[in-house]
Amino acid sequence: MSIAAPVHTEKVPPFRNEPFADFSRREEREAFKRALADIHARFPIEAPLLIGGKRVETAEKIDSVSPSDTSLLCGRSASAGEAETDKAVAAARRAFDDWSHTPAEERAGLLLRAAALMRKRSHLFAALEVYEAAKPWREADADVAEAIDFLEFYAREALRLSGRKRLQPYILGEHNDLSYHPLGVAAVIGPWNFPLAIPVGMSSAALVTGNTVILKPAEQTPLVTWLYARILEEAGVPAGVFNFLPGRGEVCGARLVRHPDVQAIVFTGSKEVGLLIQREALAAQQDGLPFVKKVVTEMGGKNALIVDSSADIDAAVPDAIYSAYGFAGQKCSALSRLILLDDIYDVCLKRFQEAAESLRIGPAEDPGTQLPPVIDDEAAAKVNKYIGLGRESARTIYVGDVGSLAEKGHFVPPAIFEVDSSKHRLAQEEIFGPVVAVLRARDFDDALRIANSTPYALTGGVHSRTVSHLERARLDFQCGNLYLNRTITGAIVARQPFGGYRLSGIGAKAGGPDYLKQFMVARAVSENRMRHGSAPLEEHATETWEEF
Amino acid sequence: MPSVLTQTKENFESGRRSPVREERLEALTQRIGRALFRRLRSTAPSFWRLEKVEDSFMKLMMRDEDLRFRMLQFVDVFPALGGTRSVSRHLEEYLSSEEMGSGAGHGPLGRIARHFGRDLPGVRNITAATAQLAITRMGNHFIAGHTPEEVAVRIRSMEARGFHFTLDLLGEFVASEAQADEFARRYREMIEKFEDLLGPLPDALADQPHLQAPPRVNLSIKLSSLTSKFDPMDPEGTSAAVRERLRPLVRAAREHGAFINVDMEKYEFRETTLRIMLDLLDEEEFRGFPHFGTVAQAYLWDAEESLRWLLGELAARKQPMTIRLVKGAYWDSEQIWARQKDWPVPVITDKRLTDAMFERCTRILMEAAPLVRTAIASHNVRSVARALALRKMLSHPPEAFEVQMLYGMAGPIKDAVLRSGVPVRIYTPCGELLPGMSYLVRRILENTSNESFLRQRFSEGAAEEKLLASPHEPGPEDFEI
Ligand SMILES: Cc1cc2nc3c(=O)[nH]c(=O)nc-3n(C[C@H](O)[C@H](O)[C@H](O)COP(=O)(O)OP(=O)(O)OC[C@H]3O[C@@H](n4cnc5c(N)ncnc54)[C@H](O)[C@@H]3O)c2cc1C
Repeated sequence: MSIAAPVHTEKVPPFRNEPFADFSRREEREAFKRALADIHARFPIEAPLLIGGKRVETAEKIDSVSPSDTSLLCGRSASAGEAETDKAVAAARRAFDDWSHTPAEERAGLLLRAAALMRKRSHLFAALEVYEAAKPWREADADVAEAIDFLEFYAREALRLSGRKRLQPYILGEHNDLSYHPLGVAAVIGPWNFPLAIPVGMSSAALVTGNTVILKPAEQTPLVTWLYARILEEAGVPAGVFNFLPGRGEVCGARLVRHPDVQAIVFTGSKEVGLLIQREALAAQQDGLPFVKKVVTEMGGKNALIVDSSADIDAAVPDAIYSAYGFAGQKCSALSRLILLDDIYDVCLKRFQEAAESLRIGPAEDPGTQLPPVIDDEAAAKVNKYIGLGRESARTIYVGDVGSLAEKGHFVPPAIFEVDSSKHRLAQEEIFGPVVAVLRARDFDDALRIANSTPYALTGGVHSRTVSHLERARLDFQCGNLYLNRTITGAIVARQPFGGYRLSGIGAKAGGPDYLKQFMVARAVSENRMRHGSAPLEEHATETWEEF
Repeated sequence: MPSVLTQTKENFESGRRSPVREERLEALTQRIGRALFRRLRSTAPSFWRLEKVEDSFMKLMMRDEDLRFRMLQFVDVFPALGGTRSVSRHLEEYLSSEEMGSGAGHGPLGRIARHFGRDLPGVRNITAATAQLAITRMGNHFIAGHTPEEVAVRIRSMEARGFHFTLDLLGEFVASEAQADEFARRYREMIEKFEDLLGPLPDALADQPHLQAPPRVNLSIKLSSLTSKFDPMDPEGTSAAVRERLRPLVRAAREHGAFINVDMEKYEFRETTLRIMLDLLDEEEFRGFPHFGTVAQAYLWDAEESLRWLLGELAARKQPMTIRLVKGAYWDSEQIWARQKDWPVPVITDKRLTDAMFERCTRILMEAAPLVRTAIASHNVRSVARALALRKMLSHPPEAFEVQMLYGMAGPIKDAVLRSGVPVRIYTPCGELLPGMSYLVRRILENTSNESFLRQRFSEGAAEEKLLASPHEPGPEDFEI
């Protein structure tokens, strides 16, 4: 089994981020409108399972509707049951031997071809996200750009980590080296909020390091992820190396996690499901498995932005608004706590409130929309429940009105509540919606204390022009991604490797230098090359151990 | 015999400029330029004098890039700081932190000490109070007043000396509809009441024939201040939102006889800004409104293309307009934004080419008279001299031409141009220091930039020939043998 054209390592140009579309240009807007019309004309899109290189239909289907207009059926996906799940695992297992022995150059080549194909159709992919995930234009475009970045970045990372690395110190007559090897079959369980970038990132990392993959997309967004499966097919992924398995989490997701032939589980989603996966993986362990399941999870956040007394409020307010309400707060990095220093509290809160009041709520396909709907009924109910809680137990600063939009889609109002304790549920629990808890801090130390008072540690931000406060934040603000004087969402591959710790997840940062190693085991080999006093002259290591 | 106008136009269009005309134009430019410089010499420049504390502050910034960066950052935070203690703490941090430096070297305090010829402890005495004084004075230098009343006092004395004005209201970044309403309210108040604040027109202006046409009250507005949803991704929605607040302003301007100029902001906003203006002028009630103006920025690679497009749109509508030609105020920001996004850099990165583009656009604009009035907004003697020369050669109608400069900048040049018989309008900002900080920082960046005409002329004392050199071909090699 061999796929087309490996890449020549020396010919791969240095990594460069995929630029976002410039929608201030007329041609770009026109092109995007055409893509929206084009994808709309293809509805309903049918997404089958892809198992062992074959498309498989199932009797049960999962409808995918637009959150902006629930009467719009974007398409349907097949829904894998336990039998199909087992077949997919078996196919992945069968393909593993060949794939794991395929040179890294060929595996990297697959990713680079997929990136090129995706780049060619970036507007079409983004347009589908606009409908299926209710991502506003820029958000959808950014998601596609990030997916391309992951493919390009991990291809290069895999090349960097491939081969045998001679270990130092060099000892005469003794040859020591270290190399990385895949784990086996990886189950990748994706979220709906970045329906392309995150599944692409997780699965391409597993693939390029030699694992075979079963990708289960989120039930809400199977179609966007299916487009990625189509791209991999087109790029020539060998049968069984990549399997696409839409289905219900409780059925095929649960089966994948417990399956004895699945070595690695890579998940991005809620804390509840993430912890459940940990437990399930551990439970499956008792059946006498010959390995410990590797679990990589990226979970939620309760992210805070501190606005210091010396902040530029003109900049802090729009940054806070975008971080909190961009994509209706449905990013794990989204701002949900705004911590304002006492002396700017009133001014800043007033401006933040007025800016929130000015947000235009609407369907994602309208380029004037600033606040799109949330993903589904359940999400809307959760947001409304927390708004109810806020009304009862906190001071309501603002709750918007979605009017008749609520009848059309999963629209929820933007909301701001003032809470006087960092222990308040609104300041502790992840809502995943456009709801912000505002807290007052006496001074900067107090602000940091409040910021650090949740069990999460994902993103955080400080708006301040006091150098020593920024320095303190670097040292003491507990979060995986700290953003100073900017928005706290929108991490870019390689520039801002992304991921948190504590209850925000376990695992290395996506889009960073450590990510691929999670999908591999390291093997060290030591060979005695001395035979009766004859040893090779100390070759100068062709490959030295670089800084990893 | 073909008129001068069509002839030069043809030559320009066909790319074959008549060498004779080109030579004559250049010779005239040089003559006018030298005449302006002669008038300059007789006037003492106000800003570039070492005695004043803000001048030495500016000099300090020009010492090296690292210091300039630190000081600008400090100026930026200054109005947000509470008391003297906070000011001195920040000053200390900004001057000692290695973290924030641009890597140009350590020990900014040491360099400041050398600059002032003092030892280090002496420099620590450049206390918060001094910095406070310097920045406040710089603010006062570039911003005419905090309130319309204060500004009216300044403007009255400018008018008495023969200058016209255009008002710029400084304000917060508009992130909400409430803030946009507030801007609209302040603009409206200016249109309706500012003339009363000013009192009768002084003789110095009443004498100028040109003033019969354009109104006395002239307001420069930014369309992004009229909506919290200014988004070039959604030009239709943005246009609708902005026009909602713009209509009452234009109606008030019509009623009270005021002029409205739409300033140009960042490149991303240009197309939407122009479109909103044309959308408004396409509305029945505003068709042909003569007291409307906008800005063309010559520092953009596509400046000429954009200007020709706009002139075409105006010609098709027979819509009169005043167009202010500038180089552009966001040069540093545009580069950073573009690089961060990996988008093509929209601004020209060779100063000579910006100047050349300015001169090309000057000509294109002036050839569009009388439908289009030309406002040459520059402090650069060469750029202005070229326009004055063209004015002669094209027999440009006098009522369709003026020169504009910024408040607090190039005082002697303003006087020199005015005394050569050309109307001069001063762009006059009004507002508090806090919301005015981004304006102030842009002015400081501009004045301390290596490429600044004013810096070269008044601080570096560059030779007149060099300052007057034509930007159309490379100047003589800067190499002594
Ligand atoms: C009355 C008035 C109104 C204005 N209104 C606006 C407005 O609405 N919008 C706007 O954007 N600007 C506006 N400006 C222009 C701007 O603020 C600057 O004052 C102007 O660009 C300075 O040019 P200059 O000819 O006076 O000086 P010069 O020193 O000759 O030119 C400086 C200018 O050259 C450009 N430049 C600097 N370095 C380089 C380089 N390395 N390569 C290429 N180009 C370079 C920059 O535009 C810089 O501002 C206005 C200016 C005036 C006087």
